[in-house]
Amino acid sequence: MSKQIFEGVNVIEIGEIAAAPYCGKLLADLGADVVKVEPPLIGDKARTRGPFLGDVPNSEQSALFLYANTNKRGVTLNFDTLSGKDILLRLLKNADVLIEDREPGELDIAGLGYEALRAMNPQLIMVSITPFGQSGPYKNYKAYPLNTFHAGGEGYTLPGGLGYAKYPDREPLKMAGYFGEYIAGLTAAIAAACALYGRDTIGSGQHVDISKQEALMALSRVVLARYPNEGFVETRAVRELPIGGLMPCKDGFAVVMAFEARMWEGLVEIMGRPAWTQEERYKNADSRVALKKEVNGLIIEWLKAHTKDEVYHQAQAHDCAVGPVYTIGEAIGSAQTRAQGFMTDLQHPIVGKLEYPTAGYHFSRTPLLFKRPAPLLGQHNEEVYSRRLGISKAEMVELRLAGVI
Amino acid sequence: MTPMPKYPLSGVRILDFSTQMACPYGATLLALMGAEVIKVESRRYLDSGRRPPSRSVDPKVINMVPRFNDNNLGKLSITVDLTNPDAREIVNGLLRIADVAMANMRPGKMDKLGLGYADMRREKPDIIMLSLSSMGNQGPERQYAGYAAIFAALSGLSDATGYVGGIPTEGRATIDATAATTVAFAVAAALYHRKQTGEGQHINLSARESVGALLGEMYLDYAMNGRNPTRKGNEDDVMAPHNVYPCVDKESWVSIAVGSEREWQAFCRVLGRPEWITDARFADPHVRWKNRAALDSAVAEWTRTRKPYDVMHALQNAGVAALPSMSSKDLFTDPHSQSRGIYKEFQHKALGKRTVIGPQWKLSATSLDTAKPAPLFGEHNELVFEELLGMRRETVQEKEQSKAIY
Repeated sequence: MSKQIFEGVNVIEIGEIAAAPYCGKLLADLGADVVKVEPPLIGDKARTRGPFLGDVPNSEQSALFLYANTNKRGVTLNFDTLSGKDILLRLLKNADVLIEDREPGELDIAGLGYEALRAMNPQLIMVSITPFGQSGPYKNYKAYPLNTFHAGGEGYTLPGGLGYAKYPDREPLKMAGYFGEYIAGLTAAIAAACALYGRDTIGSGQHVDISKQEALMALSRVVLARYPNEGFVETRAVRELPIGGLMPCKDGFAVVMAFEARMWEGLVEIMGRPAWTQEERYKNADSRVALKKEVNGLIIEWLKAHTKDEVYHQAQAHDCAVGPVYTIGEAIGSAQTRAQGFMTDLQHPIVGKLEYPTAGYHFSRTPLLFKRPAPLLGQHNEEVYSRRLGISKAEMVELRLAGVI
Repeated sequence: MTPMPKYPLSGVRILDFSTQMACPYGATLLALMGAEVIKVESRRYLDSGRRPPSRSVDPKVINMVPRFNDNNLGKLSITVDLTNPDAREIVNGLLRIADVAMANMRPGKMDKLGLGYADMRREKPDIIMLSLSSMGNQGPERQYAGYAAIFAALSGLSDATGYVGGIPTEGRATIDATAATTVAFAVAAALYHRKQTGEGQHINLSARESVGALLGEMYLDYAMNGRNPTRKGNEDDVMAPHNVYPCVDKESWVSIAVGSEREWQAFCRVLGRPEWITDARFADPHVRWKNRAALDSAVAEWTRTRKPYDVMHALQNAGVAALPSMSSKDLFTDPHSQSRGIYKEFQHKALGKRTVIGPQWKLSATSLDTAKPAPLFGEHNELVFEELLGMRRETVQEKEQSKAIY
């Protein structure tokens, strides 16, 4: 059996909600030894965010926390105290990576900024993830996931297509859940992996500055570049596919993509070659696109008599790209999801056994291992503090009473 | 003497056999980290990413597609027809000097070309191969075609995104870019592993799953409570105000989110409505959230006579989260993104002056001046065939004649 990808990589994570914890999770799920540092008693704010098992708020039953913190160890530490800071420094002394999401400057004031850490451990890779990065006029601006998402470029153009046609006067829309936060975490994880890769040849660790806004801007790079180059501003009104897009069907919605000739042919075939598709103005690709409103209307008429799964499988058999709009439950239950092994069971001492999504990648040599569920608050204090740092039992009691751990 | 490595992935060579957006952009991210990426393409099956709307394959036109430039920054391009048996020795030579190969053909297609993982390993035992497909290379739907909107639909993201009581939302190019970002992480991780162990491997990456992985808490909510998410628009489960509000100009909007009591009080003062602090409808977070519709219309009344940036400055000065919903114009002209230097400018041989979004990371030890133009079609044939592979000029000409180089 091969070594896990990041086996032997020591990571300390000071992160909350979704972005920094997801970065830590991505490394932990690939075998890194990630110790999550949480404030005593309260923990990561994700613990107070739903959804909860049975809708009962409980710091060990938050789906967000459980998902974003798999395979990590967890300790509690108040590093605003002198002894707490000392413990954190001891943890960081031999760490490879620090992931943190504090407001820029906050750790410097505490004597835990990059320069101080580098002096102690030049090999350390410090990954800082904040809404606007470590520099610039907005670096200390306050931003919740809603604000960051709308400052990233994609928000302004959501929803396009049918969503805009139906609600042209509504405000721009946020992508569901913590999309922008996860993207920032994923973007940070690339940098962590690359910095680890290059560390021996570069000769040192480094400070990685991740702006959530820029992580989102990069996703929209093609659309965003059109303004400086062409003066073109994409809005919800112009954001639409040539033929097809999101369309209603018998039992919900499907996405129909028929912009290539062979895709259009496939669609015509499964619609049973209705007479209108044989008319010259619809046969010709250019005039079809010019008449897309009518064409889309005619497709929808046909779609409404069919279920999304019927259309999906039939169209795909005819080389036409159609996708059913699945609920999460349908996505989880789909035969494809099962066959790929995207879901995995993981036992947790409080919420029990649950099925978790894993990741989009499947490595032939180093399969993802879900060895441990998200840590309970302070679950690994003893393991980390006494076994790794050699803090005595008596001292642990003192530190606990003093509110340090 | 070997020069000092400049970038994290200096010395890594990637063969990019991929087309369209998700996989090519994944390779671009690695180029932005300093890898040398060689795009292997052919006019026999031209990358549709190079195709302008006119569908022309005119060599001048195919070098002038802005979208292709933005998705293929800093690569080299060579023209090799993989379906031509006479191209085999070139391909084998490339594999022997490569660290990574990336492809996004439908599962099985690379094997048919003699370029499956097993074939590649014969030439380069420790190669890392990444195969990106819509659905993954296992399972009943593995041959299905997909584009961004389809990954978003299948993963549950489309269904979860939308206005309260509204319809699902169509996913677009950002979803391709999401798969690409996942691709880059997976390859970087495999590179690290190879450096430690000497072992390459094959990565099967499913675009639809790469989107599903960003919906983890919703998947777990289903596992815990058997429940699908409801569409929440810009609303939050706890916070109010928490929405995007109209401003004075057409299509100008500002996002505002109020978390703590301190923020709420500051918010009320900035709006000139200190009486809201004790108003029975808004006095604590719970009633505020329950009465969020009334609160949202009152807030909109205030924003509607103002500009997004004025709202932002007024509220941020008081420690309240507010930002414009930024268009491409706002972002380019914004003092923050300008000061961060995220936009990069260069001369593209066919397009002229181009501005692009540069690398999305800032590294203290390695300045990432890696945002370079995308290659012209076959721009680096000579460099790669003659300098890297050591082919003689005559051999190259023979291969051109047999259309192996094409």
